[in-house]
Amino acid sequence: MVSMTKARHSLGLVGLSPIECAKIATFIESEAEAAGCPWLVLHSDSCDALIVPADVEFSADPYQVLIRLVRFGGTPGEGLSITTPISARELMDVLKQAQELLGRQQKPAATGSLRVKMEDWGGMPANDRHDVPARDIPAGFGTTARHMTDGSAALKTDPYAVAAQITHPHAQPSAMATPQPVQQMPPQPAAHAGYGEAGEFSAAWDQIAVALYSIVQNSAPAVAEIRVENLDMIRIDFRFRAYNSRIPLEQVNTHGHRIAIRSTLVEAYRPPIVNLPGESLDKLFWFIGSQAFHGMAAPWLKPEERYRLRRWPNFTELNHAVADMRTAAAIGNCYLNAAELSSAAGITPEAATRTLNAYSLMGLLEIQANRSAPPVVFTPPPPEKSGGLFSKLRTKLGL
Amino acid sequence: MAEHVILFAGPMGAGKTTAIESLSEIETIRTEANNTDRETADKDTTTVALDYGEITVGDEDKVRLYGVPGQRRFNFMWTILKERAVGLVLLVNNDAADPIQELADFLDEFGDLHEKGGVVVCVTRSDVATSPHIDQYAEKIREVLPGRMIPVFTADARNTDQMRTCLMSLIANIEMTAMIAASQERAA
Amino acid sequence: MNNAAPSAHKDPHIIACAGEVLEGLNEFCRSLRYATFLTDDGFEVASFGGDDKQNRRVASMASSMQALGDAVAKDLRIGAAEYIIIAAETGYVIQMRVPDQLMVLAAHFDAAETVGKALSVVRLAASNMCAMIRREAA
Repeated sequence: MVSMTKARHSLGLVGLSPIECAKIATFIESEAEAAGCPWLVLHSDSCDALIVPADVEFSADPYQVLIRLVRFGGTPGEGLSITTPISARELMDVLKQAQELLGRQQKPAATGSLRVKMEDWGGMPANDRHDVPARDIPAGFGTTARHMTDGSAALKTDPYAVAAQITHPHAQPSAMATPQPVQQMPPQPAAHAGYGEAGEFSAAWDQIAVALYSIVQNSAPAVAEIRVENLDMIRIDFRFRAYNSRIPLEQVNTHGHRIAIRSTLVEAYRPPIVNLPGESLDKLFWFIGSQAFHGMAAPWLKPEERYRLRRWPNFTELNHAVADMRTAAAIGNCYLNAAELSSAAGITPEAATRTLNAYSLMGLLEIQANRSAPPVVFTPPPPEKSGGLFSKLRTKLGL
Repeated sequence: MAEHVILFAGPMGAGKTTAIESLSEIETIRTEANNTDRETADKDTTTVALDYGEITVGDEDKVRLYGVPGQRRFNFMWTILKERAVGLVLLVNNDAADPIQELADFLDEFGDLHEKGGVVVCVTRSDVATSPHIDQYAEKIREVLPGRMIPVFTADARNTDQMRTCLMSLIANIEMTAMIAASQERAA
Repeated sequence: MNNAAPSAHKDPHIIACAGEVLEGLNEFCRSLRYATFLTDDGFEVASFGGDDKQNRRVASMASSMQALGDAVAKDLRIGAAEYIIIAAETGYVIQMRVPDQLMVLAAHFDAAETVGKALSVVRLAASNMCAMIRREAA
């Protein structure tokens, strides 16, 4: 059985034509799983490996493996390369070599090697905005700090749209859930993104969450499609912070294992791919963020950091529970980590972690700059029955 | 019986009267007059004194919901009703000419209610006008009341569930702020 | 009520009529200190005896008072509110709706006046206003 937390590498496609991107994406979707080299393809230049045209001047960071795409008439240089026309076999071979190289590199402790680009502080939208931008910015999952303008930022003006996709390679059922046809899925309870047993996400959604986080961090105009098995599809247009889904999110097959996300950079003037106004992207992020990662912290969150809300989530458009309001009130008024949030809001540590994951994906959190600041010590909230007006109203209104 | 006075303020046409009607469990008391100021808001009537509704919670608590007139010429009512209020639901219609400035103006008048209890902002008619986004409202709040965390929601004043979410969030925020203050006091 | 009529506070004919009625009220009743015609929603139409700021403020307050009076009468199911009297130490404020118009007359008299007479002259002025508007309209 394949482990749900199996470490994978990310592959960035930089400066390639749309056709080249699409071809690579298709090959990886169809071949990588069988070839035993699962890759997460992103339109990020901060990935573990990058495929860059051979004729483009480019310097990768030391941690990155650079694969040169040699077009017709070009000369392969040193290091890894592939040539056009791209073949699936050649691509798989070079990716295996890249995997070996990455495997020999020293890995950051505790977390996978998946990297995502951290935000451009001047760009919007941006997640997890730090209140003191001048400080070091953590880049990705447990890696050392770096800024996005390091390395390959000059290539961001590339005129080609860059296609990216991730596919979930796990053909076998995960340990947590069994795939079921969509029509047999019971609707999720109308509460906080229902993370009970019935609502448990398959591990594939963890990768979807990571990919979405990465796309948002990139701040570039992008669109994406999430395809869920049994033909469910969610279309996202990040430019308008909107999505469309054929069926309500609550009925999306969260147990599914065949899930893929494709994203493409688009020019700002291109028409939207969703029917505007569509649904708010926050709704999707809330849904995925609060259910992904099985109650563990999202890989981009750090246990030693404290967070505070930049603004409240727009609860009127989210599938929320009354307890979520207390949670938002707590983290809206002071910097807290998951344990402190759990204590302040009177919720379980797991629920606090899920909430932080969701808020983070939604871009609602800022990180406390002063890590040595003393924690806020809370007197535990009073029990429901003897509680304040909130608890009484909750009972009165039957919420 | 403990009374909790919640004020509903905001510019003319934002939905204050409707919001109170959505929440109140009694027939609301309305003081509406025919609207002769169609340039400001194209609606038939406007509140000229107050709206009133209430929610009784057990034998001990009553939540009194007061709507104030939106026009500045009635600001004497603002002063009168503000005195007893512990919380504010500030409604702003997103299709106004400059809703962000209206938010700032009303926060200038009613922002001190945040110190007395709490404030929540409800952006109405966001289905009619999709911008500004609530991020921009939150940004303005940070500018006008730095360091304060005021919830901002989009809401349809006719929707009871949504208005309950706004009210409950306001109360949650008031209670949590008080709890944090008490904790910090004890720690000091 | 004449809902289709242009807003009274922007209609020069109605403003002129209101001014004329207030002049007559003052001549008829020397204890009058201040009076204003206002729209139901609190805009000043014409005033006698106050400065601009006070006129606007009283118009708004009188509008609120009238609406509160209407609300109380409605809630008690005692019919439409006819007039409102505020009796203070040194005078009275009487306000009354102009018949068939979206307008109210609010007048302040000193303590030398009896409430009965003050009420009578306010009622007369309101009726005159109604009649003048009808004549104008005709």
